[in-house]
Amino acid sequence: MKKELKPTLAIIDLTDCEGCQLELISFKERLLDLSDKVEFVEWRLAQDRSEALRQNFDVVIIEGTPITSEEVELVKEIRERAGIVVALGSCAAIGGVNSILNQSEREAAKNKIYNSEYRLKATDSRPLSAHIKVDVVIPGCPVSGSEAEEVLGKLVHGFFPRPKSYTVCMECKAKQNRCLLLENLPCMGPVTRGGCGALCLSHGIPCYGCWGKLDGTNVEALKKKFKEFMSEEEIGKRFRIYWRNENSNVKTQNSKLSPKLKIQKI
Amino acid sequence: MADQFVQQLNQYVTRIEGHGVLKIDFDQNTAHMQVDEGERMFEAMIVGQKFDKAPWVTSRICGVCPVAHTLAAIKAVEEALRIKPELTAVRLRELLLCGQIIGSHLLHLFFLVLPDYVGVSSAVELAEKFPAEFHLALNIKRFCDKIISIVGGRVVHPVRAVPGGFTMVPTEEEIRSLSLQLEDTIDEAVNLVELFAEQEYPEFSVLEDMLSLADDNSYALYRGMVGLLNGDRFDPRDLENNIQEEVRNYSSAKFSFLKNKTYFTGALTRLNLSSGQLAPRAKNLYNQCFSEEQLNNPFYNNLAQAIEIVHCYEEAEKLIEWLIEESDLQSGLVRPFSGTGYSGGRGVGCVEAPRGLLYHRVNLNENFLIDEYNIITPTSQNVANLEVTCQQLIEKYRDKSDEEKKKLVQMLIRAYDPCLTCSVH
Repeated sequence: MKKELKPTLAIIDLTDCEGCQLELISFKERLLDLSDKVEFVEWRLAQDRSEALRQNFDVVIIEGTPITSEEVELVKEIRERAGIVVALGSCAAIGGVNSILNQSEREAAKNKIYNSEYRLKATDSRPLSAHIKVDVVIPGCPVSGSEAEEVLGKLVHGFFPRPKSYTVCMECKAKQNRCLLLENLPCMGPVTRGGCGALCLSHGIPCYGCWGKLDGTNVEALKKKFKEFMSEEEIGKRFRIYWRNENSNVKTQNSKLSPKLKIQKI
Repeated sequence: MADQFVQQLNQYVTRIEGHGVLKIDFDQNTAHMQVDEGERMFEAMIVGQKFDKAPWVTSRICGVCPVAHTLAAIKAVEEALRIKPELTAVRLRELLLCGQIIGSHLLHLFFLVLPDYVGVSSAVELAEKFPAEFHLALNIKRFCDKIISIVGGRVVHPVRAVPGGFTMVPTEEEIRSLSLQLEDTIDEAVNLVELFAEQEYPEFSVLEDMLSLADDNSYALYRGMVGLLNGDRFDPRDLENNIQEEVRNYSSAKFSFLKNKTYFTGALTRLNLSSGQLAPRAKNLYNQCFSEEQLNNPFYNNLAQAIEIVHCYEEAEKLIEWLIEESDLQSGLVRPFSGTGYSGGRGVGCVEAPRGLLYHRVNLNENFLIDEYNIITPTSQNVANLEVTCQQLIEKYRDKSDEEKKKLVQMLIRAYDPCLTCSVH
């Protein structure tokens, strides 16, 4: 009998909290189902690191932000060897909280946190797409386990997973939550990509925007609303927690699959 | 999380999780812990933000122990604002912390430590060869995840716990469902201790100091004084005056010292300082499994973690009972905070994270904005100690082959359960 060739999949983490990988682990048994269909080649949290990094992969899932020059080189190398690159989580997709500080602020902070002689290993913090082409984005801080499962499932079965085309606000309405924006809380739900199921809002916390900006939404109108109860400065800080790179127009969502290597059909 | 990879160069290099290297020279008998994790600088990220962002943002330091960071930040902020949470909120937080410690210890013991001792190379292989044990681990994981999702709203980076209380509280029915699941799995937690008590740990003892929270009346996890091995205690607010942090160019994690000596913080420290306050079943297991000299042997941090899993089960049982019988759950909800006439303040939040003492300090200005923030994590306290104990270990086993010494060093690192992600924050 002809041996089935399974697509190879690697998960690699850069600078981050590793929480998104843990979300993946949290769908446990279903993940084992997935491992019938793909071959996990590299996953630091689940197996010993091997020489695997030197080979080619069908799918590479990258978690975290490349913030050291080694990491930037690594993702470029991975891009060369990967059919499909998936950005897992806000740190990879939009820079996440890692990107709150810009380059000059990082240098100033260094003198306080370390000292003037210390040389930072990390330079700037920007999303994966600032360095390489990204095919698929699974946003979130952390990602939603079920959305990640849906995206990976589609990939494994040869479909192209498309990011959600509606806002958190819509998911929140569908859940019939009370509107926090109407209570003068700085909720970013109206401009943030859906997929979390309005999780924070359903627990009484206004949206921080961790899924990133949904193209076509009117951010300026939301800021105008915020101005009714917040200062300009506060609004800036709010948008900074996840959106420093969104504001600087770094392209964070790509929607075309790399033509170089298509994932093998099972 | 430590997962390692050994390369043979002119020096021996033990890799930890890709973002750190322990450089050991067996000829010179030296060890250097070089943490390569990129600096995220959380302490600067949140300066200028309002106080309520402290737990949200600092939780992102670590996806393995987000509850510990959230709680330390909440405690620091509450102290700076001079607000006191309701007892129900405190109990719910303590329950969260139990879930956190069980989950983190379990991941470490089962996926990172056990493969070393039973001779498999990965967790996937472990699942195939030891299905019963794997099943046991999953059951315990399900229980602690359920605690955190019911109380905190989500397992990784919980959302409901905020300064002053909770934005939502679990229903009594949800708490009762926890109680059922606890009864179903507590025996499995005991089995886990037996599994780790059966393993053979290398002989070794260390003469450095130890530090963790300590309290006369309870096994200190959520609150306490800072205790040392010789019985000395001091207020957590004075931690920065009592320890020295040193910056070394080769590592992005700082090195901590206590009166010029390195020290260890973690489960084994807590057993040293608080074994008398363990819950009954955990104490019984401790008495059966631990001898005096093992309390000095860092390899036994693994067994100490297993015992703490049982302790946290019993502690959770008590908390659940209290929440059902004696509390009005709604009183755990956060109340509006007026803050009129506030002129700023300093607050310290100390909790025992799974890997040891975690310290957050916040300075707020009169507008409730964060002026200054300082975080001292367990692993950043342990790296200096790890260097020293590694040197002692290779000295003690100098007659062994380099290959055996490498294996021992790897096992020692894993016993420390280093979280390099936390160590550079």
